Amino acid sequence: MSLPKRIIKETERLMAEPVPGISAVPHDDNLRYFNVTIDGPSQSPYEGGTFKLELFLPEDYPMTPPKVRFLTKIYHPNIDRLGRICLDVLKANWSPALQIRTILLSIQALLGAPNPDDPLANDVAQRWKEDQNAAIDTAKEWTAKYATA
Amino acid sequence: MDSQNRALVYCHSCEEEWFRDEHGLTCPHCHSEFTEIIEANHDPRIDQSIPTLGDLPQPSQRHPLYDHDPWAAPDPDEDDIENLQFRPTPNGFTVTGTIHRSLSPTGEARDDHGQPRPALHDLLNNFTSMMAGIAGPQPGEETRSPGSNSRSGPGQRTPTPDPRSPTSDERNPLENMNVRGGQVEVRSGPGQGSRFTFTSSTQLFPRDGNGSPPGSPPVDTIQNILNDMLFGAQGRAWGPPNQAHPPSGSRGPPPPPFPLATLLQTMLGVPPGGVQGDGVYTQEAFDRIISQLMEQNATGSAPGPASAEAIAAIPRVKIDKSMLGDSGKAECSICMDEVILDQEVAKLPCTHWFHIPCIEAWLGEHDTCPHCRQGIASDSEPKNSADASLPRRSASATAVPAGPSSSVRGGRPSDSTMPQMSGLPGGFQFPPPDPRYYSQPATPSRSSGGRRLSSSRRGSGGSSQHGEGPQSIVDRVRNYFRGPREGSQGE
Repeated sequence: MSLPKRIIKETERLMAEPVPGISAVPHDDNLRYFNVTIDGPSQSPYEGGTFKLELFLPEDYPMTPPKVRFLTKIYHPNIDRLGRICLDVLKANWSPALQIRTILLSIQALLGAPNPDDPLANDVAQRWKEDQNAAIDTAKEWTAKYATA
Repeated sequence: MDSQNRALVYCHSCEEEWFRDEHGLTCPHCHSEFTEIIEANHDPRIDQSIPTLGDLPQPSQRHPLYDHDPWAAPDPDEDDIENLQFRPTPNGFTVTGTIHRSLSPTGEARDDHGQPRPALHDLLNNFTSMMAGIAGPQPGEETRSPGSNSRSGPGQRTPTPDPRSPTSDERNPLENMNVRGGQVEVRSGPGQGSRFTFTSSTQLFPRDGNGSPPGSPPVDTIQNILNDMLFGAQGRAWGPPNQAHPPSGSRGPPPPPFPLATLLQTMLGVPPGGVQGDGVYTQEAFDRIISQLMEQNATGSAPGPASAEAIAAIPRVKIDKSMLGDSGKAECSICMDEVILDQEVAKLPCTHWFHIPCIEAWLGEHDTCPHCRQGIASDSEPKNSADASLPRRSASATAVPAGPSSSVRGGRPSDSTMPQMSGLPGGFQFPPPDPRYYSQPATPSRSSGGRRLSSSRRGSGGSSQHGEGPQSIVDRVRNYFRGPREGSQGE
């Protein structure tokens, strides 16, 4: 099946006007598959880290949301061990008016504002609630350990 | 001894034994009269079908089971095999075993072709297969066996038209007979026609870890073996190595599928795939299930589809200059294709417009406006909207003014990002889709398509001219979102 025009346009715009701190490069063999990097937001425990993600546009995109997953290990209450992300716009609140760019910005914002009340990684969220400073320290450690080249 | 001279009686019914002078000829145990006096040369306790060894000692009087042989059957015991020899050969070792058996009357042991009767045949088969077992897999082809002068072919067990080889005479018609790949030489014992000597040879080869021994079937790769073990060997032959890959001449029944996979899983309590019913046994299986649930749940709380009638009732409008905005360009935010003047688009009750096929495709799955999430099914109440999303919506509805929605509607990707991050703490929500939270008197829930048509105004911006009542509330809400941003659709 040929690539929908929308995906081509989105890709072109991502290349032409990249978002600061975010890169999304389609795979050579599969233009629906993107290698993504997101810089940790400043003043967050992830500052200084560069996180790798994978993004896949399903067959019926944009009627269904893209599938996004962290490849870099990250300590975050809304991101689990396998890199799956708990973000409403990736699930029930997806809308075809959203785009790769906006989704990635949402993920970047999620790094800046963890939400332990809607956790995906339960143990992390628990710690985040009980001892936020310790959790943030762990997040920083992980960022230094896994997200810095 | 005294007991040696006393007649022993045997009951064929209950296999009881007693002395005749004590209990007579009727069984004292079961009172059967089917009894027999045991004589030295005729012992009814021994199955007549078994060839009795001529020098079989007198059955002991000490215990009825003294010489009981539970394995007594027409297959040779180790004790019967003599001259089991391992001889080194250039290729390895040759194992030779010889069995001596006395058989009942000579003439009956053979058929017209001089072939042994089935009982004898079974004996040979058992013997040779046992010999074959010593050496493991046997070459199916006789040509591989050094020194073999046997006839080849799969018809070993059938009477061969020419059973006589140059070295064979009338008494050893089975010479060089092959049974299941083993070499058998049968010689009748000298003098007594009832004695046969079977010799079976088999080859042993030094173990070679890097290759399969000559003549043996190809060795599976470890991957195949493990795959079979772990994922089941459906229809695959498992069993002793010499049966796993039957040589072409083998006539045995197909080996049953090896139940190792099932057995292991049962023993270890690990069900196939790590999943059993509702239980998971491995982290991978658990992750898989979680992923599956997340997938299934991905849109589970999303609003359901709009009805076909509601979709069909969406008003179609033509793109005018005000819709193109200041830049004079706008695009459908679903397909990102530009629209041109006078192109017909579908305009939702919330005034957001899209290509007709684009929005139909979306509304067919979710009754929400892609921009503001208001449903089209009802003017006042989002139909099919999941209840779970309502609290969040209500919270956002009261918290977020119309401001952010303008940026969403503006279509600038970077601008539209932040307001769409609903669910983030302190983040922005989508603009409220539900007028219910703005208008206290609940409006009649369902409005007919006709009324919606009539109430949808094309380009008439003002709202104040509408009178009181449900309709005016709807209109007020609409204008709340639409008014200042009219025409900023797209970019």
